[in-house]
Amino acid sequence: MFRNGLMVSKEPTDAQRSEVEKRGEDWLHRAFSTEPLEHDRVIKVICELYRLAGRQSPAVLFCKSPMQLTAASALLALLVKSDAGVSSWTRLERLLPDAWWDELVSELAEQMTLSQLREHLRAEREDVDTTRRLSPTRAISLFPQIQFSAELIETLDVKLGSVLNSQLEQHWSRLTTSEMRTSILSSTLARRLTFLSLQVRAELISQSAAKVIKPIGHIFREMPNNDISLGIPLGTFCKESPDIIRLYREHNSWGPWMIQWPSAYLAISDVFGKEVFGNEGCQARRVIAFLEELQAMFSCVFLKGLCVVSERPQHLALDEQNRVHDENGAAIVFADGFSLYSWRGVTVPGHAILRPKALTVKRIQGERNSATRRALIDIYGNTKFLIDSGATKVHEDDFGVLYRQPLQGDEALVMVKVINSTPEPDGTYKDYFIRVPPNIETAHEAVAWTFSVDAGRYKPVRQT
Amino acid sequence: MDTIYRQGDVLIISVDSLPPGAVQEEPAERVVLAYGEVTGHAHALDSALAIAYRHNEDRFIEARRGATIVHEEHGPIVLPPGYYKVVRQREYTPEEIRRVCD
Repeated sequence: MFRNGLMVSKEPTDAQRSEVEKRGEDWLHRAFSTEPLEHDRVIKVICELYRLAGRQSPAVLFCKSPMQLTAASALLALLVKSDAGVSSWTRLERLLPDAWWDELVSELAEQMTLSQLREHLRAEREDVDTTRRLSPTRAISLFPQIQFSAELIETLDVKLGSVLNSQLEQHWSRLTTSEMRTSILSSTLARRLTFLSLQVRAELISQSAAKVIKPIGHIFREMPNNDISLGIPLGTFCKESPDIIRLYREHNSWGPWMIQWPSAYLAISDVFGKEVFGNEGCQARRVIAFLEELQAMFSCVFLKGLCVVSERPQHLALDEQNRVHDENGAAIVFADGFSLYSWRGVTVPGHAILRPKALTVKRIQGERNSATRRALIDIYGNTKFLIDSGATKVHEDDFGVLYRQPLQGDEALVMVKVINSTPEPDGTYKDYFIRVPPNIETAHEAVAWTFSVDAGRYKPVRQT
Repeated sequence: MDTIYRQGDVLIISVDSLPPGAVQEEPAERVVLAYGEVTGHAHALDSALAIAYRHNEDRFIEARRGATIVHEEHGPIVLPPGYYKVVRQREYTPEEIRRVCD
């Protein structure tokens, strides 16, 4: 502890450090949970969240997966503006192309009638129009409602920020060091949550949005041309779909931000709670607790007057670094069957996991997403890929042979082939490949790098 | 110049002394430098002839006369008495650096 007249700083104790660590584990556990949601609890939290943002309580609808969530938001937006009312709902239900859509509609219909939904939306939005017919342009214009997600979070950010800052300014500097604020928190919380939130959730949403566009288009294509109540030309709808996907991708990235940001404060407040927030607590503490509850949901879309929530997955497999990963099947599976195949945290096509032997060099090189391509190379095997793709030998010396295979739009695959110093029982010498950074130019330099030693120093007197 | 020995994916580098603050590891039947996660084999020394130390993420050994590193698939290496730093081989990936395990 030191004193400079104005500020007293103290290191966190071991107990406090372990408490922060434990909080981080709790958060992680919650983020990866596959337990069913407690609906009453979630509704209460969401209504409180809207209230804090100065909004009326919304209708809360639950979906079985992010796929359903995306579909439901799109479907509801269309239906609300339709002048066909309940009959449109019924007609859509009849026209649904497969059981999956049947399930979605009955899922929503069980929870709320269309007229109830309209009441909620009308209470919040004066421009909800149930008399005019739906035109393609107007249907698409509904999707920016999703921007409310961002608005809501921004409102909360300002409120939370001001309350927290006023509380923390008085106590923060004397209770924590910069190490506490950055190193411990970022390592215990934010970094581990970043993966799940930023990659998986956003990807799930954009994937499901992409899948949803087609069935919606199918519904409208199947409709008689003279049905003017919901007669959106397919072409127009699909032409606009990239924007919808973009919207979902952008706005769902707010979700994880919302989760991560207060999580750091929450860990701190739990450890230093009484000192920072006082025995009686404060609004900030309460708000953070709400946000913690909110993290229980896998993903959600905030609309004016309506919040659509996805249930958690039924199955979620992780690797040793808490990345979503399953070598034998889907890594995430939701109740409606919507699933995600993932390799060390990167989403990959299902066939890469289910039929890895069918992967080819051509297929891998044709993959445009560099993260996915890296994952596919990993599944295929770095060494096998290097050999099968005809990599160029760039250097050879007493330490090994260096190969390079350029990858379009990504750093090159550079590997050094070394030979075991000890012979096999049959007298032959086994060789193996190790990947090294792409800037390495000689085999000697490459082998030295694998042992964290400069090439100039790397001269073993004995090797076996 | 440091003297360097290599047995498979483990490098042994001679050092003048242990770094200040190095902590002796719990004595066991043998000093295992690395287990091969794939084969289950181990790079190991007789604990009567070697003591293992840890300093942050680094490992060190103090070798006595006759200390020998053995492994099921590699030839033995006899270390002259002294202190050594133990380095595991690593592999590059664009996202992270993984340890190599034979």
